[in-house]
Amino acid sequence: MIKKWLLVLSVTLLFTGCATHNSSYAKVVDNTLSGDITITDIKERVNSDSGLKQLQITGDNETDKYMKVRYRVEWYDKDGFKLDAIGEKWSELPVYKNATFTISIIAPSKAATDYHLYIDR
Amino acid sequence: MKNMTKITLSALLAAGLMTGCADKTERIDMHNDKGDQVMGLDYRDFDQAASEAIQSMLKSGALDKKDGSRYVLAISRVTNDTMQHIDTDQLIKKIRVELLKSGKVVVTTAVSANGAEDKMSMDARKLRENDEFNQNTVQKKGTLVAPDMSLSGKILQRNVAMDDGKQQVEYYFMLSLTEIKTGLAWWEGETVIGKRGSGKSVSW
Repeated sequence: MIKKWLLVLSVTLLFTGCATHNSSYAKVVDNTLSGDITITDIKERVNSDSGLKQLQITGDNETDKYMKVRYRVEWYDKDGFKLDAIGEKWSELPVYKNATFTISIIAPSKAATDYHLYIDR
Repeated sequence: MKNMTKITLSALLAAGLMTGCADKTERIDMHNDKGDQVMGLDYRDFDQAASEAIQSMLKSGALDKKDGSRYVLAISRVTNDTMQHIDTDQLIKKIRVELLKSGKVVVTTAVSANGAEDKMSMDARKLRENDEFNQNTVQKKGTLVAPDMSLSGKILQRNVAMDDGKQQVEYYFMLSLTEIKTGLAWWEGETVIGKRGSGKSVSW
Protein backbone atom coordinates (compact mmCIF):
# COMPACT_ATOMS: atom_id res chain seq x y z
CA MET A 1 0.00 0.00 0.00
CA ILE A 2 2.82 2.38 0.96
CA LYS A 3 4.62 1.47 -2.26
CA LYS A 4 1.53 2.44 -4.26
CA TRP A 5 1.28 5.79 -2.53
CA LEU A 6 4.97 6.46 -3.12
CA LEU A 7 4.50 5.66 -6.80
CA VAL A 8 1.52 8.06 -7.09
CA LEU A 9 3.51 10.75 -5.26
CA SER A 10 6.52 10.31 -7.58
CA VAL A 11 4.37 10.55 -10.71
CA THR A 12 2.62 13.67 -9.33
CA LEU A 13 5.96 15.32 -8.58
CA LEU A 14 7.21 14.42 -12.03
CA PHE A 15 4.22 16.13 -13.67
CA THR A 16 4.53 19.17 -11.39
CA GLY A 17 8.15 19.44 -12.45
CA CYS A 18 7.18 19.39 -16.14
CA ALA A 19 4.52 22.07 -15.62
CA THR A 20 7.05 24.42 -14.05
CA HIS A 21 9.48 23.97 -16.94
CA ASN A 22 6.92 24.88 -19.62
CA SER A 23 4.39 27.33 -18.26
CA SER A 24 2.46 27.71 -21.52
CA TYR A 25 -1.29 27.27 -21.55
CA ALA A 26 -4.49 28.29 -23.29
CA LYS A 27 -7.74 28.58 -21.39
CA VAL A 28 -11.27 29.91 -21.49
CA VAL A 29 -11.52 32.50 -18.74
CA ASP A 30 -15.21 33.44 -18.95
CA ASN A 31 -17.30 31.05 -16.86
CA THR A 32 -20.38 31.73 -18.98
CA LEU A 33 -18.52 30.18 -21.93
CA SER A 34 -17.54 26.98 -20.11
CA GLY A 35 -19.27 24.05 -21.70
CA ASP A 36 -20.02 26.09 -24.82
CA ILE A 37 -16.47 26.66 -25.97
CA THR A 38 -13.78 24.05 -25.48
CA ILE A 39 -10.15 23.98 -26.51
CA THR A 40 -9.46 20.67 -28.20
CA ASP A 41 -5.91 20.96 -29.50
CA ILE A 42 -2.79 23.11 -29.23
CA LYS A 43 -0.07 22.79 -31.84
CA GLU A 44 3.33 24.48 -31.56
CA ARG A 45 6.28 24.69 -33.89
CA VAL A 46 9.28 26.91 -34.45
CA ASN A 47 9.50 28.18 -38.01
CA SER A 48 12.90 27.11 -39.33
CA ASP A 49 13.34 30.25 -41.47
CA SER A 50 12.20 32.92 -39.04
CA GLY A 51 13.01 31.18 -35.76
CA LEU A 52 9.64 32.37 -34.44
CA LYS A 53 7.29 30.10 -32.52
CA GLN A 54 3.92 29.49 -34.16
CA LEU A 55 0.78 28.42 -32.33
CA GLN A 56 -2.41 26.91 -33.57
CA ILE A 57 -5.19 26.58 -31.03
CA THR A 58 -8.23 24.62 -32.12
CA GLY A 59 -11.53 24.57 -30.32
CA ASP A 60 -15.19 23.72 -30.66
CA ASN A 61 -18.33 25.78 -30.36
CA GLU A 62 -20.74 23.20 -29.05
CA THR A 63 -23.80 25.43 -29.17
CA ASP A 64 -26.37 26.33 -31.82
CA LYS A 65 -25.34 29.97 -31.62
CA TYR A 66 -22.85 32.03 -33.56
CA MET A 67 -20.63 33.84 -31.09
CA LYS A 68 -18.08 36.57 -31.25
CA VAL A 69 -15.50 35.88 -28.60
CA ARG A 70 -12.14 37.51 -28.05
CA TYR A 71 -8.67 36.30 -27.18
CA ARG A 72 -5.34 37.66 -26.15
CA VAL A 73 -1.92 36.17 -25.66
CA GLU A 74 0.92 37.06 -23.32
CA TRP A 75 4.40 35.96 -24.30
CA TYR A 76 7.27 35.09 -21.95
CA ASP A 77 10.97 34.52 -22.54
CA LYS A 78 12.83 31.38 -21.45
CA ASP A 79 13.45 32.87 -18.01
CA GLY A 80 9.77 33.59 -17.47
CA PHE A 81 9.96 37.33 -18.08
CA LYS A 82 6.96 38.83 -19.83
CA LEU A 83 7.49 40.44 -23.22
CA ASP A 84 5.52 43.47 -24.38
CA ALA A 85 3.62 42.87 -27.59
CA ILE A 86 0.54 44.21 -29.34
CA GLY A 87 -1.02 40.71 -29.16
CA GLU A 88 -1.62 41.32 -25.45
CA LYS A 89 -4.65 43.37 -26.41
CA TRP A 90 -7.93 41.59 -27.08
CA SER A 91 -8.62 40.45 -30.64
CA GLU A 92 -12.03 39.45 -31.86
CA LEU A 93 -12.71 35.92 -33.08
CA PRO A 94 -15.82 34.71 -34.89
CA VAL A 95 -16.99 31.32 -33.65
CA TYR A 96 -19.62 29.69 -35.84
CA LYS A 97 -22.34 27.45 -34.41
CA ASN A 98 -21.52 23.77 -34.00
CA ALA A 99 -18.18 24.27 -35.69
CA THR A 100 -14.50 24.21 -34.90
CA PHE A 101 -12.49 27.41 -34.70
CA THR A 102 -8.79 28.06 -35.02
CA ILE A 103 -6.55 30.74 -33.57
CA SER A 104 -3.26 31.06 -35.40
CA ILE A 105 -0.57 33.22 -33.81
CA ILE A 106 3.10 33.87 -34.38
CA ALA A 107 5.45 34.92 -31.58
CA PRO A 108 6.54 38.57 -31.55
CA SER A 109 10.25 37.65 -31.47
CA LYS A 110 12.65 34.73 -31.14
CA ALA A 111 12.89 35.42 -27.42
CA ALA A 112 9.22 34.48 -26.95
CA THR A 113 9.14 30.83 -25.90
CA ASP A 114 6.16 30.47 -23.56
CA TYR A 115 2.65 31.86 -23.79
CA HIS A 116 -0.57 32.32 -21.88
CA LEU A 117 -3.60 32.49 -24.14
CA TYR A 118 -6.96 33.61 -22.79
CA ILE A 119 -10.36 33.33 -24.44
CA ASP A 120 -13.13 35.59 -23.14
CA ARG A 121 -16.57 36.70 -24.19
CA MET B 1 -29.84 82.72 12.52
CA LYS B 2 -32.66 80.77 10.89
CA ASN B 3 -32.14 82.67 7.64
CA MET B 4 -28.42 81.91 7.74
CA THR B 5 -29.10 78.19 8.10
CA LYS B 6 -31.58 78.32 5.20
CA ILE B 7 -29.04 80.10 2.96
CA THR B 8 -26.34 77.56 3.83
CA LEU B 9 -28.66 74.64 3.16
CA SER B 10 -29.74 76.15 -0.17
CA ALA B 11 -26.13 76.69 -1.19
CA LEU B 12 -25.26 73.10 -0.26
CA LEU B 13 -28.26 71.79 -2.20
CA ALA B 14 -27.36 73.84 -5.27
CA ALA B 15 -23.74 72.67 -5.10
CA GLY B 16 -24.89 69.09 -4.77
CA LEU B 17 -27.22 69.42 -7.73
CA MET B 18 -24.52 70.93 -9.92
CA THR B 19 -22.08 68.18 -9.04
CA GLY B 20 -24.76 65.67 -9.96
CA CYS B 21 -25.31 67.31 -13.33
CA ALA B 22 -21.65 67.58 -14.28
CA ASP B 23 -20.46 64.82 -16.66
CA LYS B 24 -17.92 62.68 -14.98
CA THR B 25 -14.70 62.25 -16.91
CA GLU B 26 -13.35 58.74 -16.87
CA ARG B 27 -10.02 57.43 -17.98
CA ILE B 28 -10.37 54.67 -20.57
CA ASP B 29 -9.04 51.27 -19.60
CA MET B 30 -7.09 50.70 -22.80
CA HIS B 31 -6.56 47.01 -21.99
CA ASN B 32 -10.20 46.08 -21.57
CA ASP B 33 -12.27 48.80 -23.20
CA LYS B 34 -15.86 47.67 -23.67
CA GLY B 35 -17.03 51.18 -24.48
CA ASP B 36 -19.50 51.76 -27.29
CA GLN B 37 -18.20 51.79 -30.82
CA VAL B 38 -18.07 55.04 -32.76
CA MET B 39 -18.66 55.48 -36.49
CA GLY B 40 -15.25 57.07 -36.93
CA LEU B 41 -11.93 55.34 -36.35
CA ASP B 42 -10.69 55.04 -32.80
CA TYR B 43 -7.58 53.53 -31.22
CA ARG B 44 -9.16 50.06 -31.09
CA ASP B 45 -9.47 50.02 -34.87
CA PHE B 46 -5.85 51.06 -35.32
CA ASP B 47 -4.76 48.38 -32.82
CA GLN B 48 -6.68 45.73 -34.74
CA ALA B 49 -5.37 46.80 -38.14
CA ALA B 50 -1.78 47.00 -36.88
CA SER B 51 -1.98 43.68 -35.06
CA GLU B 52 -3.34 41.87 -38.13
CA ALA B 53 -0.71 43.45 -40.39
CA ILE B 54 2.17 42.46 -38.09
CA GLN B 55 0.96 38.88 -37.68
CA SER B 56 0.50 38.56 -41.43
CA MET B 57 3.92 40.05 -42.19
CA LEU B 58 5.76 37.81 -39.72
CA LYS B 59 3.90 34.69 -40.89
CA SER B 60 4.60 35.43 -44.55
CA GLY B 61 8.36 35.08 -44.17
CA ALA B 62 8.91 38.25 -46.19
CA LEU B 63 11.06 39.64 -43.37
CA ASP B 64 13.24 36.56 -42.93
CA LYS B 65 16.69 37.44 -44.23
CA LYS B 66 18.69 34.38 -45.24
CA ASP B 67 21.77 35.32 -43.19
CA GLY B 68 19.62 36.04 -40.12
CA SER B 69 20.42 39.76 -40.10
CA ARG B 70 17.82 42.53 -40.21
CA TYR B 71 16.33 44.34 -43.16
CA VAL B 72 16.46 48.14 -43.23
CA LEU B 73 12.96 49.47 -43.72
CA ALA B 74 12.01 52.91 -45.00
CA ILE B 75 8.54 54.33 -44.49
CA SER B 76 7.08 55.44 -47.78
CA ARG B 77 3.86 57.30 -48.38
CA VAL B 78 0.81 56.16 -46.41
CA THR B 79 -2.21 58.04 -47.67
CA ASN B 80 -5.21 59.00 -45.59
CA ASP B 81 -8.05 58.69 -48.07
CA THR B 82 -10.78 58.91 -45.45
CA MET B 83 -13.00 61.82 -44.52
CA GLN B 84 -11.36 62.00 -41.11
CA HIS B 85 -8.43 64.04 -39.98
CA ILE B 86 -6.18 61.22 -38.93
CA ASP B 87 -2.43 60.97 -38.79
CA THR B 88 -1.39 57.77 -40.55
CA ASP B 89 1.36 57.41 -37.94
CA GLN B 90 -1.39 56.16 -35.62
CA LEU B 91 -1.19 52.96 -37.66
CA ILE B 92 2.38 52.97 -38.93
CA LYS B 93 4.05 53.69 -35.60
CA LYS B 94 2.45 50.63 -34.01
CA ILE B 95 3.68 48.47 -36.89
CA ARG B 96 7.18 49.95 -36.69
CA VAL B 97 7.43 49.35 -32.95
CA GLU B 98 6.38 45.70 -33.25
CA LEU B 99 8.62 45.02 -36.24
CA LEU B 100 11.58 46.49 -34.39
CA LYS B 101 10.81 44.29 -31.39
CA SER B 102 10.64 41.24 -33.67
CA GLY B 103 14.32 41.62 -34.47
CA LYS B 104 13.58 41.24 -38.18
CA VAL B 105 13.69 44.87 -39.17
CA VAL B 106 15.34 48.15 -38.33
CA VAL B 107 13.69 51.33 -39.56
CA THR B 108 15.67 54.18 -41.07
CA THR B 109 14.66 57.69 -40.06
CA ALA B 110 17.15 59.21 -42.51
CA VAL B 111 15.04 58.47 -45.60
CA SER B 112 11.30 58.52 -46.14
CA ALA B 113 8.82 59.54 -48.81
CA ASN B 114 8.37 62.90 -47.11
CA GLY B 115 12.07 63.56 -46.60
CA ALA B 116 14.09 62.52 -43.59
CA GLU B 117 11.97 61.85 -40.53
CA ASP B 118 14.91 62.85 -38.37
CA LYS B 119 16.86 65.58 -40.15
CA MET B 120 19.66 65.39 -37.59
CA SER B 121 21.35 62.54 -39.47
CA MET B 122 22.10 64.99 -42.30
CA ASP B 123 22.42 68.15 -40.20
CA ALA B 124 25.11 66.56 -38.04
CA ARG B 125 27.14 65.91 -41.20
CA LYS B 126 27.20 69.59 -41.97
CA LEU B 127 29.67 69.90 -39.10
CA ARG B 128 32.43 68.60 -41.35
CA GLU B 129 35.20 71.19 -41.76
CA ASN B 130 33.77 73.13 -38.82
CA ASP B 131 36.77 73.88 -36.60
CA GLU B 132 34.57 74.21 -33.53
CA PHE B 133 33.90 70.48 -33.57
CA ASN B 134 36.34 67.68 -32.99
CA GLN B 135 36.37 66.16 -36.47
CA ASN B 136 37.04 62.70 -35.07
CA THR B 137 33.53 62.82 -33.57
CA VAL B 138 31.86 63.93 -36.80
CA GLN B 139 30.37 61.10 -38.88
CA LYS B 140 32.46 60.07 -41.87
CA LYS B 141 31.15 59.92 -45.41
CA GLY B 142 29.41 56.76 -46.52
CA THR B 143 28.16 55.62 -43.11
CA LEU B 144 24.41 56.00 -43.58
CA VAL B 145 22.65 52.75 -44.43
CA ALA B 146 20.28 52.69 -47.41
CA PRO B 147 16.95 50.87 -47.04
CA ASP B 148 16.25 47.39 -48.42
CA MET B 149 12.49 47.55 -48.04
CA SER B 150 9.75 50.14 -48.16
CA LEU B 151 6.38 50.16 -46.41
CA SER B 152 3.59 52.04 -48.14
CA GLY B 153 -0.16 52.06 -47.99
CA LYS B 154 -3.51 53.71 -47.86
CA ILE B 155 -6.43 54.02 -45.47
CA LEU B 156 -9.64 54.23 -47.43
CA GLN B 157 -13.21 55.04 -46.40
CA ARG B 158 -16.41 54.11 -48.17
CA ASN B 159 -19.83 55.30 -46.95
CA VAL B 160 -22.93 53.35 -47.90
CA ALA B 161 -26.44 54.69 -47.25
CA MET B 162 -28.80 51.88 -46.28
CA ASP B 163 -32.50 51.50 -47.09
CA ASP B 164 -33.57 51.85 -43.47
CA GLY B 165 -31.88 55.21 -43.16
CA LYS B 166 -28.86 53.80 -41.42
CA GLN B 167 -25.34 54.35 -42.62
CA GLN B 168 -22.60 51.82 -43.21
CA VAL B 169 -19.00 52.94 -43.13
CA GLU B 170 -16.24 50.67 -44.39
CA TYR B 171 -12.61 51.34 -43.64
CA TYR B 172 -9.87 49.61 -45.62
CA PHE B 173 -6.32 49.50 -44.28
CA MET B 174 -4.11 48.54 -47.22
CA LEU B 175 -0.37 48.04 -46.85
CA SER B 176 2.46 46.89 -49.14
CA LEU B 177 6.01 45.89 -48.36
CA THR B 178 8.24 46.44 -51.39
CA GLU B 179 11.78 45.23 -51.98
CA ILE B 180 13.53 48.37 -53.19
CA LYS B 181 16.11 46.46 -55.26
CA THR B 182 13.51 44.86 -57.52
CA GLY B 183 10.44 46.98 -56.91
CA LEU B 184 8.47 43.84 -56.16
CA ALA B 185 5.91 43.75 -53.36
CA TRP B 186 6.93 40.86 -51.10
CA TRP B 187 3.99 41.25 -48.81
CA GLU B 188 0.58 42.89 -49.07
CA GLY B 189 -2.14 43.04 -46.51
CA GLU B 190 -5.63 44.39 -46.09
CA THR B 191 -7.81 44.76 -43.00
CA VAL B 192 -11.42 45.80 -43.41
CA ILE B 193 -13.35 47.31 -40.51
CA GLY B 194 -17.04 47.94 -41.04
CA LYS B 195 -19.39 49.98 -38.87
CA ARG B 196 -23.14 50.43 -39.10
CA GLY B 197 -25.05 53.11 -37.24
CA SER B 198 -27.39 56.04 -37.42
CA GLY B 199 -27.52 57.91 -40.71
CA LYS B 200 -27.22 61.07 -38.67
CA SER B 201 -23.81 60.06 -37.35
CA VAL B 202 -20.96 61.98 -38.84
CA SER B 203 -17.99 59.87 -39.73
CA TRP B 204 -15.32 62.45 -40.32
